[in-house]
Amino acid sequence: MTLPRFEYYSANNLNDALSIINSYGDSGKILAGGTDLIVKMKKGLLAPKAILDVNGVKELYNITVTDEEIVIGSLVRQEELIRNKAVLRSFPVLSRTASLMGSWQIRNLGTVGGNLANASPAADLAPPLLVLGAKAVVVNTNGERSIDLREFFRGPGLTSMRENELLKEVRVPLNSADSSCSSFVKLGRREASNISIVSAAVHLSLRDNVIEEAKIALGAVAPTPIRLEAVERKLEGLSVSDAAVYEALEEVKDRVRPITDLRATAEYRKEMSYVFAKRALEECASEVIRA
Amino acid sequence: MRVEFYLNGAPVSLEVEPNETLLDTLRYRLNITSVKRGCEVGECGSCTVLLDGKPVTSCLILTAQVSDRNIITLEGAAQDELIANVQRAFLENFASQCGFCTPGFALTASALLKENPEPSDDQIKTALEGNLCRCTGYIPIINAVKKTSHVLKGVKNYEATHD
Repeated sequence: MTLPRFEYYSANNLNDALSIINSYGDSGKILAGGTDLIVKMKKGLLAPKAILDVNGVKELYNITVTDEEIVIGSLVRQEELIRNKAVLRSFPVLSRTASLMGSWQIRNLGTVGGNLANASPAADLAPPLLVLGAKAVVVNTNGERSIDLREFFRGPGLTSMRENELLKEVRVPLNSADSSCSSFVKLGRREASNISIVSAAVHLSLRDNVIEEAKIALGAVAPTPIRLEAVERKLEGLSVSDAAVYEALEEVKDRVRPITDLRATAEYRKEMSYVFAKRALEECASEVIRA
Repeated sequence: MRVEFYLNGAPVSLEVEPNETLLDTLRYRLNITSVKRGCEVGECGSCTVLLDGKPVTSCLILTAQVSDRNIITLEGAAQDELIANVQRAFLENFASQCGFCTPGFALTASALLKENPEPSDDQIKTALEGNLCRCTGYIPIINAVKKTSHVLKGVKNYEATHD
């Protein structure tokens, strides 16, 4: 497999990157980890006129923690999420999710920003970031803007980013609740190098085992990763061990819009979206009840 | 375009095409034939190299991207005692049948042992997830990694105590 020809530009700082992106717009593609872009180019699915390599932009590699949030630069490698102490301490669910992605070699290349900006319906980092209330910060030559992740995904491969914008970082608010939990589970055909058939993330805030706040997100069962807010409202106020929790979760099946592809049928995905939402919720709740 | 990097410790400077992958530069310009052309889409791990010490699939990296960086291939065993130990353990444990996947496995295993000299079986399996062996010789491969770990600890009588 030979790559098509293209013009190659690399930027060493954010301003250079943004002006190159600005001049190429849609005819250029941003190269971060390359685990998606290079594969698509080899398979003949993409043939950009120019490749804009942003790997030299140092400010996109930072992970910083403030009193309110953790900021994860878009070029942070997926493997770094597994190892970074601040991420492990504040959001172990993100480390757990990253550990279920790709392989060591792929996680050393693949980036947080690439996983989101490619807007695959099956992007594994999307469900946990959606339930954690994350925001994407995008930037162009005019400045920055922040997009709630719920508004970020527009369809398979489509985001609400403009063509001259670069995903700069993801901001995840730190949780103030005393008793909260987050979980991520996924279904694939094997354990590694595994594109999700269904993935599910849950975040709960609990008081005396009663769900005060629930957030559920699913991947690979709709044109984008989705939050299930109608189901979340039904869960709130229930005790985690109440059978009504399962009744509420049944509605997941009515809210997903899966397709049949080479990994699974739509019918199977619909059933499994309920099963994996349930498993995610049980895993989350058991974490709090144990502690 | 001109690219300069370090290959197994030695500086390299050469002209490459922008659309050239590191895999192709290593194999066809530099005659580094331990790096194998397998699936070419990052699934099989047979093109694994160490980029600044981290295992990566060289089929997904443009050579243009590796300016000033350190690339280690299995040929680097000549300068690296750890990689040489892994290579020896693969030989002694028959961890190779056709051999196509072996350099990738050996490099990933070296990177694992460098950061964790005493990995558990699960840690070995997790680290090697991105390397596929189609002769399905995974058990001898895992044994070779464990044996290297024992050699690193200075346990010379591994066979006597572990068979």
